[in-house]
Amino acid sequence: VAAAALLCALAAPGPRTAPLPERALAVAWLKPAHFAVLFARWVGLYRWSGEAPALLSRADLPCHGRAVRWPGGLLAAHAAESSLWAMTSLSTHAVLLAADGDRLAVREQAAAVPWPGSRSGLRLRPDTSLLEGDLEGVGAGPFLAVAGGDAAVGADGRLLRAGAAQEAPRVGSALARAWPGWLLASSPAPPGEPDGITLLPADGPAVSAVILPGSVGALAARVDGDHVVTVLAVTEGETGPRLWLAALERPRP
Amino acid sequence: VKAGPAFVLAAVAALPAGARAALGPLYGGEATVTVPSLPSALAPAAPADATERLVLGLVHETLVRWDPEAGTQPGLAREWTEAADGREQTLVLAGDLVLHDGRPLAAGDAARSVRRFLRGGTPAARRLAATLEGGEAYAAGHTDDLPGVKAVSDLHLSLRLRARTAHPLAPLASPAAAVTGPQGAGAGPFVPAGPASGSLRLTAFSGHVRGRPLLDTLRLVAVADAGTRDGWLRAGRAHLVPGRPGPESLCATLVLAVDPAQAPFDRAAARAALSAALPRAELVAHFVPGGQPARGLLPPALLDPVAGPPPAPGPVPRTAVALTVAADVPARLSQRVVAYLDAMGLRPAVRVREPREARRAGGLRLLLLAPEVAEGELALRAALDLAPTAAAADTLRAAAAQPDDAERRRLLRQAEAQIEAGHALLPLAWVPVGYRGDGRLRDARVDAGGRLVLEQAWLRP
Repeated sequence: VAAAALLCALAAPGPRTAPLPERALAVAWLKPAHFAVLFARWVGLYRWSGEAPALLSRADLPCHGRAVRWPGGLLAAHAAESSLWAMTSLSTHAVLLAADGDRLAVREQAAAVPWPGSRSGLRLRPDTSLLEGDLEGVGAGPFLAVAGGDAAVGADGRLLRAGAAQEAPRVGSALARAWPGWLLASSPAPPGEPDGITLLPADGPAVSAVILPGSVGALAARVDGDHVVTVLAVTEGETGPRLWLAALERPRP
Repeated sequence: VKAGPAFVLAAVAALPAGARAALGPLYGGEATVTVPSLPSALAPAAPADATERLVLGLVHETLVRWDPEAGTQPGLAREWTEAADGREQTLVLAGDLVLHDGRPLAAGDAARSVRRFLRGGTPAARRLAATLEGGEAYAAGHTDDLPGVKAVSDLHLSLRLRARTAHPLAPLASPAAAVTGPQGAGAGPFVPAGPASGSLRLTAFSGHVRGRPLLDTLRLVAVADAGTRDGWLRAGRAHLVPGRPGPESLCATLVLAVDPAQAPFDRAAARAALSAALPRAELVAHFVPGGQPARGLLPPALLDPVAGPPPAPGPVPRTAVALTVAADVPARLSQRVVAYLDAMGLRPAVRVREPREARRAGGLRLLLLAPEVAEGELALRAALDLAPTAAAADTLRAAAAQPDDAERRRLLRQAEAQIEAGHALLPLAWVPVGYRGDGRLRDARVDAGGRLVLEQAWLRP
């Protein structure tokens, strides 16, 4: 499929929040109108009802006292069970949280985040934002981001896909799955410039779908037919990130 | 979108892949910085030049840091409180601190380090000693008792002052005041490996108070020749070398120090004539890229300059003089100053010495001054060491006791003018301290004191 022949659709401008008080490390859809945002020391449950997303509740993570210069984190959502695993560079454990109505409740703890394609799960390399753990067909990491059990961003910013034949392209550190075989990723230039979201098919060239006015720090996608509904944590200038909602239409030849 | 709340969909054409965006900061990798020379020791000290300042800032950490805009900032101490009308300052250390050797870092280490600092005799140490109860007697070695410094728990360090003082903790931001363990281990962002000839390898310290640096390792390589250093950069062997353009700070002052006890400059009129004859604007225009003709002893980041009356022109004595040039003064800059002096008929006999030795020399000295702490009063105290002036010393004492910031700044400007009025320390140019890179190393910066800060730096893949 030639990139020039592809078209995609963007919801622009979608609903967005006021600046958040701190950097969002990860986002994940939990239900069609609910998503979770991972911060260094807590998880927020947000609801989107056509207006700007609203924070419903928060759950604090068990944290150690050491400073981490640039924390990272991982959310693993199980939409069918309305639950998610969360872990950050500051947390002592991975924590299973369940959305009970509009509230988040801690259900369980583990040493690592259970993850598809990983026997021992994924965890944060101590004092860094790097993810560690075997990912079948992808490698042992460290990773900047993971999406499902078959795709990750390596520590050098290259996209790693199980069974990929073509040279690994460079991407940013936000990654999510879209339609089968498709990934969404932020783009690879350093912070401080407008960011973009790139659609990456299993085969064929990538397509830049959205240019954004800031850096994408986290990204989640939910497939809805020919659309993916995304939550983006976008940082513009010196203010905290805003959560943006945007829908992308599946590219057509 | 079929399910969920609707929002407007707008079709846009596909855009070329590779839009600018956000990868980073990233952990990992090794960066190489070339420097003119490496210090022979890594113990806390007042840095003599930019490389010492860099190395000590990598290896060591202070209780507090100083920001010219924001004032005292947390270092190993996460906060501080004052009592007894400001005469009692209690610093609270961050929790779970460790030293490079793995030992816990406690307030006892901080107290011992403050004692070491006070006996070091730097301008910042003397300022602290003058304000602490028992500080001057202890600093002078008359007693080992120091009632003004006490570790009251593992996390709390108490300082008792003789009187309320402006910015009482600022001296503790000196690199010479860094906290070390009983065996000398530091607590800075990088752990130095064993000594190696001509290079120093440092590894990221996971226990650093602000978190592990992003780089895994850092290599400092001594390359004496500037052209060779540039070659390292061009060949991709180094990520940063001294120079510009790149991260920089206008923080150093090139000064010509004149010994007022030595003929022919034992006459104030002769010193003023020398000052008036020095073509500062021409020097800067041709030989100090990024610099400014000095309009005072301190760069503007430390103290707003106020132009004083120009020195009175007059005949410069035509005689042979000894000129000691500090080794960190760029060669083409010192050569130009020598040419100026020669053109005046001074016939300078030049010798190059290490910066500390050059400061102690007699006769004329060409020095590059950067502050021990980037705070106006402390920087002026260092200048006062080179050109002692009783009136300026009195004014600095008044500034130290002045709680009102505006009035304090007025006093500091007055003290600066009093030092300059003696024409024993002639500011020539404000000189940037900077580093040039090839774009691979991101987020390196130079602070207001001229320290290259690499703890936030990361390598772009």
